[in-house]
Amino acid sequence: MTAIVDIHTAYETHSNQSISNLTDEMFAFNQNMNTIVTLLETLRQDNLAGAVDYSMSDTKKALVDKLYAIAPHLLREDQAAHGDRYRWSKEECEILIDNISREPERIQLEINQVMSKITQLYNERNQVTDIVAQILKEMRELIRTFLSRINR
Amino acid sequence: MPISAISSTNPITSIDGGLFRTDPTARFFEALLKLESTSDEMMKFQLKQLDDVQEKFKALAAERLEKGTEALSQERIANNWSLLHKAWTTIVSAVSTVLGVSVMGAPGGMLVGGAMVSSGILGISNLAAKEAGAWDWVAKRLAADNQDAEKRYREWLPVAVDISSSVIGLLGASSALLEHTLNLSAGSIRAAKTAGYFAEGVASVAKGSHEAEALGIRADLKELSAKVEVNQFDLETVTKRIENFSAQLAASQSQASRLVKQAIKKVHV
Repeated sequence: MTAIVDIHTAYETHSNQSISNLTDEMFAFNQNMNTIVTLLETLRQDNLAGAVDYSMSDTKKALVDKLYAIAPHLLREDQAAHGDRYRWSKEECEILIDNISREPERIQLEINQVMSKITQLYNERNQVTDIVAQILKEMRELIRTFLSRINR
Repeated sequence: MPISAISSTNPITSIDGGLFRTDPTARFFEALLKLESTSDEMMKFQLKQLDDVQEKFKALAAERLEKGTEALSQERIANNWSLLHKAWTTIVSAVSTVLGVSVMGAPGGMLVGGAMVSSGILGISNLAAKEAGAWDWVAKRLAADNQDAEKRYREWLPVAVDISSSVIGLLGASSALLEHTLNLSAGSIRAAKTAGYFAEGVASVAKGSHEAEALGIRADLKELSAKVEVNQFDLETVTKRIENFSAQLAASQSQASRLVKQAIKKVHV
């Protein structure tokens, strides 16, 4: 019986670790989404005035670098249009905003996939717990029967 | 059920570190809460984008209406000048040709007379060409199957010839005023003809310039229409993007809701 409990504990530890890893992924997705939303807001605001130049602002440059780390394909598209990664004309900036705006949908899709995996893990864990509980119950019954036979 | 509705009564929101921090389910709920708040921000941004596109749409529609009215007004003015121009062209072109020939005979009048003849012939030819639709034929030949070019030629050729004819006519008429270079008999008739040239020239230039103005405005209108089409596409794109994002978000929320319910059930058991 102790062995069954030990196996179940080991399984739960493993399952917890998997859920924890997947949750880390969700935190990372959240951070990416946050970067995108912040950058989109900033770009939109600055774009209203015309051309955008972040080469003098370290904070904004860092934000752009983060974006390109999250979505390297955006950097390729953007650099194909012009050489500088921190400077855009009004029109280029509008295109960039449009391209970045496509990212959240993709991220949300990935989040949903991770959530599906977590749901699956929780379901599996529930099933395993139910089975273990059932086995333990059966074993208890067995022991009770055995003990009652001996006592008779 | 939105995640925030579940979380509002859940103490997990206040947990910052400690024992529960390591609990996978608690961490998972925390991740869900953060994601919901970020997604809310994203949704707000997308709605702002939609507002921006709609604002642009309104501005373009207003500009198109204004340009349309302006083009109509310019075309109406050009039509009025056109009537006057036609009358002058028929009279003055004929007189110009005759007078030009007679001037050519006068001492030093070759150049002036030549200009008058050219202007007269050009004026009559242009009028005739327009009435007979001959410019369409020329435009077709010049454009060589390029429909855009053909349209441009058809619109601009008569205007260009009109302006050239008027300029040549005005030059000839101006020179005719320098009496010492010419030796014509009836001074009063010459003065009347000269006034005629000027009137015809002014009518022609005015008509040409209003037509050109109307053409320019029509080109602006075409550009505006193209912009409106692009804007329409932007509007559809942003709307579609919001729809997709909302669908993803709804899927995510229903999954989270199921998980939370499951967790609550487990706790009660």
